[in-house]
Amino acid sequence: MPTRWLIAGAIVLAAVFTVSAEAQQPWRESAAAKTLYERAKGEGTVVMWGTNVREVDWIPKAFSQSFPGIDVKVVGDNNISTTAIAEARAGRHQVDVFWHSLAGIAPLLERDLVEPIDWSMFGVAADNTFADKKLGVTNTMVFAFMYNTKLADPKLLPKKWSDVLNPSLKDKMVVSDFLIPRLTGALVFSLGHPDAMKFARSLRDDMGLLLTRAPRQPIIASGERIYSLVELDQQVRLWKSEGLPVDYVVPEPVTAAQFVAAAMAKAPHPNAARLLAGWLASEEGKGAREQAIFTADYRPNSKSAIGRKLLATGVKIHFDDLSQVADRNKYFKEAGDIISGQVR
Amino acid sequence: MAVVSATRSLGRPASLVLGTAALLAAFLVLVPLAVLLFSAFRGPPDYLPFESKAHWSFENVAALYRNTALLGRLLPDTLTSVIGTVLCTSITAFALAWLVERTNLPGRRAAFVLILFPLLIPVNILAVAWIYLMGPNAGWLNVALRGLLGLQGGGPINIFSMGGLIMSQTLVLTPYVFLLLLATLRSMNPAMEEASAASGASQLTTFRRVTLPMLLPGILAPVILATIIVLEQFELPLMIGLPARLNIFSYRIYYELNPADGLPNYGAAAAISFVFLLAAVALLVVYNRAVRNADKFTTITGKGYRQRRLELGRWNVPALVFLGAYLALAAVLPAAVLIWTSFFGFAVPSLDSLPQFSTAAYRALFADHRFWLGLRNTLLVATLSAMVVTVLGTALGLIITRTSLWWRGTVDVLSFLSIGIPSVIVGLAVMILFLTLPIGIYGTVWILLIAYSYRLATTTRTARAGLMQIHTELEEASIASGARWLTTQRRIVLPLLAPAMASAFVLLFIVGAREFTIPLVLASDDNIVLSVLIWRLYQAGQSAETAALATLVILAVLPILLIARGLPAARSDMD
Repeated sequence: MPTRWLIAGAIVLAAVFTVSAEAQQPWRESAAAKTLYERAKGEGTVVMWGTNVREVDWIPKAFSQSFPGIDVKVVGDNNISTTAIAEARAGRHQVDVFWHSLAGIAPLLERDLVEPIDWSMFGVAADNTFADKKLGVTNTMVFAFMYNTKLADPKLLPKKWSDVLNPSLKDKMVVSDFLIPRLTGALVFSLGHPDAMKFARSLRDDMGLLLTRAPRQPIIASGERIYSLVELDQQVRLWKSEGLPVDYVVPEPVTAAQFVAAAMAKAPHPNAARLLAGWLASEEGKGAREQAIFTADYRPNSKSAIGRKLLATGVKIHFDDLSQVADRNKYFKEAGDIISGQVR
Repeated sequence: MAVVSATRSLGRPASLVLGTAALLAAFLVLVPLAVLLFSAFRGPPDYLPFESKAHWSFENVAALYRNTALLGRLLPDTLTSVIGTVLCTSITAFALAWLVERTNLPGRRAAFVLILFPLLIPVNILAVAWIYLMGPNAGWLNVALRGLLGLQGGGPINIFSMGGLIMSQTLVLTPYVFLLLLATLRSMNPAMEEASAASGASQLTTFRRVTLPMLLPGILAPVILATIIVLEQFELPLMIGLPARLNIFSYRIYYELNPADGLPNYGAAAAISFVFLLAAVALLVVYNRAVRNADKFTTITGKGYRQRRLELGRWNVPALVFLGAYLALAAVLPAAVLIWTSFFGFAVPSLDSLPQFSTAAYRALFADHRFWLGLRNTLLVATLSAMVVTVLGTALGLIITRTSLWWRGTVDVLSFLSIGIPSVIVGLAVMILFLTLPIGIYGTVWILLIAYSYRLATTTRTARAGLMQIHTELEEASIASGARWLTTQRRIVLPLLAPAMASAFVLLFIVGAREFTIPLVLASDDNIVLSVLIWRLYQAGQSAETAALATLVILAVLPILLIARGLPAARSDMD
């Protein structure tokens, strides 16, 4: 008995120590970080663009708690890449920090519009960066199968993606026309090209999918459809937290998209840009993101509670990376053409 | 019909005014048109058309038109959707306009406002409301109908079908056509109908043989506009057509502009847009041929008149049922869905859901500075752009119908082409232009004003139709009395044209208030408008906030409709 108590006490102490060490965030105490913060405060403002309102709306409040005195302006929109490229070409620059998926930020990398950062200043390990330290990973998302907890048949929940072709699911699934090409395109890397495209054709021809660009959650909540074929896991957790009767499973092969932050090369507020991008990729920033919008990190060295839960199952996760971007985009397009009926 | 035969006859001030208007119009339309043409022949798709690594290419055009499998579905689906929608819209809008304007239908003043309701709400929000109502499995209407009729399974209504697409497009388009028809009906002198009745013709014969032919230009213009709008409109094909596997041209444009990853393919989108331009030109030719002998459409002369309202008598009940059915589907039920969602989120309407009542969405909006900034910007841009376009469109209408300037035909074509240019191309063109020019309006609300003001087709058509109904004898009398051309237009023609132009202003204001594609492309921190905020909340899946904001937009725009209803011409006719 005493031994067990000792072990338990040691675990609690270790946990407390770990948490408090993380809470202290020693990188913020470094001279370089303090100097950067002072310079950023002098700039007063930082402008950040991301792909979606929800992905960026939480940032001004969370960032100002750590770094008061810097006004964070955020824009969440899907067309940010085009605007950033057009502005840069004309020599106008509004944006300081850019947040996107690896594939989404690739056009900016190709045009040298983002600059390297010393991510180590923020405690970000080298393997959490991409493109010669131009990009820092902020989070990852896995493709998930969402269901209405009140109406779903647990026996129909898929363990593998191929299970969604179960005839019992016919006419019961809604699917986002934005996400399904991404899932199918990503599956090429685990299933192979022929099987992934066959999967896309079967979905289109046999499953009576309700293909939509509209938000799926009201469709699921109302019972118009019971299952959403593919969602990002984080979105489901967010909706669940808002009281929606939804949950998810993660079928195999598990595929994950990586999201990154970068400072723009011609950022009007360069110090604030580096500070915000670095903070977003730091453990502190990741923790704040997870707390605000339930985003996880599934990379092997993840400290995310949600991430560790999935990793603990031992499942293999297929991550995208920059070397695959061109191929992925090609497969996304091909799958999108098939599913939306642009080709036979 | 007497028109001014040469610039010299106009006088210097008139020439200056009309010349400036024509130049402004040319600027507003030609810049996006040039970008459209330029983009269509630039590739490859992973570079924006203006980038240095892009080059001249026919690939965009070739890629689309050699895809025979696609065209085999695209053309039939598009034609069915357009013909069905335009037919249903024309009948519905004409019936509604006639009931409100020319009959003693009870409650017609309230009906006027409610009929315009779909104009106030972003189309994607309406689509969501109709999916809630008519989704085959859990749509509120379907559930109610199945309960009433004892039916099993899904349906009986399926919004995800060609019928559903035509119905929803009809409901969205009807207010546009209604508003334009109303002006035409309002301006019509009933003398000829009265003469027909006095000659013993029945009401139906009078309507068929006198009223309809007389209204031809006023009907053709909105019908042609409706055809182009339905060709360009992409939200409903996306949200209702796509689940039904219907392939519509406008969706194809959207598809190219919203790739799964990478940059939008502006070149391919521009190539597809050629279809719109060709359609616009073809329809313009049809219109011009139909109204070639304009004199026969003249209904306003120097003689005074007062319209007589038709007594509906026993037709009151069917008319009210028709009106009620339209209003239920187009206004009351979608509004109920919006209001419910804004307070109850995703909860299905039932007594069990009442404890979930919350004003959190409204409180969140009021606490968000973007809401207040967006409200200010929306009202400013919508009002100013509607004013600019109304004034410019009127000037263009005068050039086309009241002068014999050699370039008036070009002005006509130019103004009409504006409707064939997709908004997203306009947004891109204006963005490129003002990023390049050393004028510091990029990122401000003023760039939106310029971009919004390209929509000249509506007002030019309205002004032209209105002017064709005004006989030149009034102007001839004025000029004979010594007034200059500009004075005559200002004191005689424009006051007579005012009801039609007021309708066009209201329409443009509403279109401006809910425009989202252009401000989305040109968005910055400072020029956000409410439609962009709605779209972003909607894309982020924040349904309660989206519904709350849509409800607030309706409340903000509603006074404009009430003002429109109170316009002198409208009031006198509806009393």
